[in-house]
Amino acid sequence: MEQASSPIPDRPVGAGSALLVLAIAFLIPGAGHIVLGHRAKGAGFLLIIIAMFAGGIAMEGRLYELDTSRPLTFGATLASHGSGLLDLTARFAGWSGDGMAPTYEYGTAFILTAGMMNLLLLFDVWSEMRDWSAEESGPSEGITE
Amino acid sequence: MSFGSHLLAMSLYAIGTGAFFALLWKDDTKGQARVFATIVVSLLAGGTAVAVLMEWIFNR
Repeated sequence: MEQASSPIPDRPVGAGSALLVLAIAFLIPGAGHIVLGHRAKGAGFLLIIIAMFAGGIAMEGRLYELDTSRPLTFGATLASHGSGLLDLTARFAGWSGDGMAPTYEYGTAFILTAGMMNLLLLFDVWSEMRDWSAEESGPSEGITE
Repeated sequence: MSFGSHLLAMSLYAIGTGAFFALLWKDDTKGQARVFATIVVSLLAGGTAVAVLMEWIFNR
């Protein structure tokens, strides 16, 4: 694993590509960091989120679906969808979990946490691209100390 | 692999969460190790403390 994941000198992503990077980061956990040059960090995130999501599936966790009569499902559905392609693949495969399994609650917690982790990574990627944008705009528009 | 053990599931969760935030928050190996250990120990100790408390409240 690399010691530090400092940005590479040549910025690989222009401002116009920000949305594309965010879309890639959403679909594939850790891919946003890899695109931005943090390869080891991105690979680590990918492994961790896949492991968390797969653990949730192995524990018979549930993939939430929106139920307008139950407001608490809103956040859970957002977190569940947050895993990007992992979530889409499991849904496409017809995964529903087993509410009677003894590990169901743990499994659901793993799946929701994996989704929230990926959403958090989106903010991290967005934050880094915003910092680059501020630097390119010059000190007057950037964060001043 | 059986996930029937609460302690095993809790430990795996703590390890995954600790590794994620260590990687997210710190860039140096020493800092990552410190954050990882703090999160893992906190989650395990906190979860165990809550379990003992619930046992004490509901089963005494």
